[in-house]
Amino acid sequence: MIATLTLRQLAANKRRLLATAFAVILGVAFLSGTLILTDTIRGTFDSLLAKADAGTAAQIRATSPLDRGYGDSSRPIDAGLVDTVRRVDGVAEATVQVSGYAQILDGEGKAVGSAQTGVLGQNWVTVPALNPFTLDAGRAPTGPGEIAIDRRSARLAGLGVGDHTTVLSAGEPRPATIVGITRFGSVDTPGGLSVVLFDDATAQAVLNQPGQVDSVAVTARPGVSHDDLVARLAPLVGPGNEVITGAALTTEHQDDIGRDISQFGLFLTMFALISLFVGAFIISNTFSIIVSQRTREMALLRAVGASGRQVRRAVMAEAAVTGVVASAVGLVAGVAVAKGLRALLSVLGVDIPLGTLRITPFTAVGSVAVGVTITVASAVLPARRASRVAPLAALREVAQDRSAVSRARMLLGGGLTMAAMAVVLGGRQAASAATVGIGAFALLIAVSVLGPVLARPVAAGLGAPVYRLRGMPGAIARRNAMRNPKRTARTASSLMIGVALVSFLALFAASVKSSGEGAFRDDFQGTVVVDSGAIDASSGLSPAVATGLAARPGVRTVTEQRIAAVETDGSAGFLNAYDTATVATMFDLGTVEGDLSRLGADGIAVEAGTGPDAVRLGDTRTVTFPSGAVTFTVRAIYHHGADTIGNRFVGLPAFETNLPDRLDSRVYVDTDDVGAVSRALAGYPTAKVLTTDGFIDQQNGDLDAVLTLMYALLGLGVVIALLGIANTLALSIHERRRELGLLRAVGMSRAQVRSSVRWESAIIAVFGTGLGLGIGVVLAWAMIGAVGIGASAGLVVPVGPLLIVAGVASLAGVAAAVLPSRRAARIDILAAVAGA
Amino acid sequence: MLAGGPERRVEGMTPTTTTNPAPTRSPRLPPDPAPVPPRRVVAGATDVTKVYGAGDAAVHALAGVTVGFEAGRFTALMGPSGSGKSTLMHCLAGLDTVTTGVITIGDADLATLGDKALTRLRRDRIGFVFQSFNLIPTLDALENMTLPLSLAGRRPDRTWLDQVIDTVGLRARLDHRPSELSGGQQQRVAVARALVSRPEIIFADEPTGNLDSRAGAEILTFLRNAVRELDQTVVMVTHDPTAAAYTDRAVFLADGRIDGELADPTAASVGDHLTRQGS
Ligand SMILES: Nc1ncnc2c1ncn2[C@@H]1O[C@H](COP(=O)(O)OP(=O)(O)OP(=O)(O)O)[C@@H](O)[C@H]1O
Ligand SMILES: [Mg+2]
Repeated sequence: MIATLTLRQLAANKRRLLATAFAVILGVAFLSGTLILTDTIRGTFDSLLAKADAGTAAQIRATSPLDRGYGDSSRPIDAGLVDTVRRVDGVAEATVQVSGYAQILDGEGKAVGSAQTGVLGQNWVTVPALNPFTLDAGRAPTGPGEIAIDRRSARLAGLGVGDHTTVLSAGEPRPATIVGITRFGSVDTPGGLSVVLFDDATAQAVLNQPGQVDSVAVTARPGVSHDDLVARLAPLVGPGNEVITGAALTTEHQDDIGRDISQFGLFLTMFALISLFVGAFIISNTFSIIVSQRTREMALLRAVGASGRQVRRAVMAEAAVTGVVASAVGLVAGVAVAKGLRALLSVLGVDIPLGTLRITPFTAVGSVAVGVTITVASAVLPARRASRVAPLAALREVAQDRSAVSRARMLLGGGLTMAAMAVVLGGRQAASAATVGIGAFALLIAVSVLGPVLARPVAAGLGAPVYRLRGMPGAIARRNAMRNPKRTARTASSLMIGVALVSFLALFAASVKSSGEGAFRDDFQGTVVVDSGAIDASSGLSPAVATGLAARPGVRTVTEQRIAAVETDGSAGFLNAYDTATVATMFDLGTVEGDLSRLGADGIAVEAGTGPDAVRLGDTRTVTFPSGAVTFTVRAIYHHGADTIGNRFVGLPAFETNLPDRLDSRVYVDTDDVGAVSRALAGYPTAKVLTTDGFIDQQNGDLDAVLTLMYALLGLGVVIALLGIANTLALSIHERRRELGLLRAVGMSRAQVRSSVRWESAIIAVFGTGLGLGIGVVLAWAMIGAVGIGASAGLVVPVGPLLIVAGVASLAGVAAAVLPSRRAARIDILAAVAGA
Repeated sequence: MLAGGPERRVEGMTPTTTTNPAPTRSPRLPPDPAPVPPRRVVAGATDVTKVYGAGDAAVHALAGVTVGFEAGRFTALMGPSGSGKSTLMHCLAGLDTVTTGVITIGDADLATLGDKALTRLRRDRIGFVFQSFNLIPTLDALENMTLPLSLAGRRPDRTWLDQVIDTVGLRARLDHRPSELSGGQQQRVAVARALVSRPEIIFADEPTGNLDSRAGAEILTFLRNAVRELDQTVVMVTHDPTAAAYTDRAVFLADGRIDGELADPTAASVGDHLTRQGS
């Protein structure tokens, strides 16, 4: 009986449930699309890497205490090992493996690939079973002047077999002829990487030192197990080296790339969950409105003998069916989302092979479960209210959602808000970004609880000028925004979340920019930054760049900077190495205790600290490089400039001793002739010559690119919120159709009706936007304090962008009202007046 | 019912249902300086038909109605259920369109007016009282009374407004929301709204249908006073011969056609007519 009723209700409320369904569909589509995409990428890489390493029985390499990135080596090993292992019984063939930084130039002298998309130089392995690359055109490179490149780079740069080019590396730029175009398994190149391949000897000379290789790989004779082979090789590899099976190598490679993919997936999933969170408000709102519109009907059911439990079940069943259907549609739509994201990524240079999309059971079940859970959970409160409808209500006049604001809500909402604020402030005090984050989530929920308390007075206040401006339609808009405080608040809350997050980001980014910029201008004493864009030691500028610049007339000082991913005293992070002879001239380091010139290969300079962070000369720091842990002695303490150069650094010899790569990430120059620097570096297209202003612009630009992506992802949440506003208005209009008919009968024009609905929407939107902005400001302030961005700069309020956020959100609120207002204006006067 | 001054006054004036004196035509009090010719037709229907549906399912709600309503008169529109009273009224008031025929308000042919002009006409020249749900729940009594003027962006004429408020006896309830008013009070607000904008004609569709006889009598008295003392024109649909007795003229409808009329109807004469109609 109740089941029949549920189905009838669903059929009767198709339209009203559409927005609910849509909110669920969008959220689930986003979520499942993200999961499908990451699973697909991971699956593709897993099989690519498994195939690439399939022939490898064992690999010999230097040990490392750190996880290594794909192709990274901790320390070179002796090339002669390959001859030793070749003689071992059970080894069929063996090869050296060399990799490092190499990048080519296209016909116009521009660099092919970038540090961001990945650049890699390797040796062309002559043993087919050990070579993941295959020739697509031409032949293998032989001799110092020949290279092979990947097919994607060839296509993008317009290069082919026989073309001449220049190879950039850690050494001087060198000319080369392209003799081959390669593929990597089934793809042109893995993950958009730009690859340059040399013969063994050239690879050693260009990427390492002659006689030094990164690893040695072997194939096994038939019948010899990989484990056996590893056991036979182990005694021969020497101290500090290790042997692993090909299978272990594959797992390592897969895990390494899997980590990046997971991070990327997590990033996207976070935004999907935000969308669903916003969606939850809409779902709850829709069910509340539907329940209140059906009060009489439910009361009648109760009057004829249905139990409260049955009524509640009917509503929950309706939510469950809606949730299941919408989630299933969302899952299907997720495939399209995954395809869209893949297209977007390939535009950004990350080539994901066009394999079939992988929909794992986890994705399918998980996405649908999340969608259904959110839908059902959002309907719990409305359903409970439905079950409490008194049978007597059937006899009353049209019962609307005349939710009064209870004292309990005021106390609870107020209390929660205070508690959440306390957590946020505590997080700031304790410099804990995570605590601020938890507080932020709590604050959003707390304010949503408090929303209905605020809705009436705020709507009244916001509506007052509308009344004056628009007369009676304005007055009606204002009263309508005030009449159901819960509905108004729930609608505004969904917008609030999006606006809070967007404005938080805007504020946070502005402060980061401003403090970074302020610190750099303050600390940097030179005039030019030569930037490679390198984010770690795998690419960068040849040290020849710095040497060449230092020798030029008019150049006063040159300081090189290198970056490496290491662990310092057990915590992972980046370590900088600077030219110790010039770093204190190039940057204002304030008072320097000790002697920077005596850092050598085992000394470290550290920012001065106070209290528990106090440092003294002679203290030690353990830095773990990929090649091993090294104890450094504090030989200098500086009192200024940490925001720019980092809170610790070592000298270049320390890197040269402990890292295989010798590439500068940046070179800072002090000269009056910027043009001369540019001219001197004409042959190094990866070296960007930037003035102080230009460098700051570039840094800000990088941040803006990330911000734009995040805004776009948050945009979905805002779209869902607007959908919610439109839906609420549509439901309200349906509920008020008699009233609207009456208004039209006594002379309200269609334009006035539309204007009235638009203004009501605007009031709700401004309410949500205002709350969101307020929360965004508080959170940004707390977060900036927590992460300790430039104490001097503090919170920067970018008035312009915030006004834009506020304006766009409010206008969007009006836009959301377009369709509902048209419907309101088209209402059939007679039908409305006739009642029913 | 609350015992207020006006209500007591009404009570005194309310005739018992059976001994309702046949209202006599009161001398017209011309507050209007304009030389309005007597018996000017304010609203008229000529050969009006209204068909719902088509083919076999077609319902001829109006099957050729010609009738005129004169200024300064209170007319009752009567007839059995389904005879087309509401339909005719809705067509006259510009709320609905006719299938054939002509509806005029003043000298305006409604068929020639678009939605905007019709809306303006309803707002400025026509007043309404429906059987129920007459008021906007979010507006208080005074705001509801002045709603058509507010929509037009005009301020009410203060003295006229005061006069209307006193006539309907709602001065103490002006800032109350409809939910805080009794059914009778709500209908009085609706009557006040119809009066405040000084429309050329007021249409009331069973305005007392939901009220008890005493509250109904109040409303009828107000309508009659509006005609007699405030020089308004009112057309009222009613089933009730007692209500018709308050009017100057009763027009009868049957099966979508005019079926006779009575001047200065009394409950008895209307009853007679209806009995004859029924047979
Ligand atoms: N929207 C409509 N669609 C179809 N038929 C309609 C419609 N509105 C009215 N009718 C029909 O038109 C005829 C006249 O209806 P109307 O409402 O004018 O009657 P009435 O005289 O006001 O009756 P009552 O005294 O019951 O209010 C009736 O037969 C009715 O069924
Ligand atoms: Mg009727």
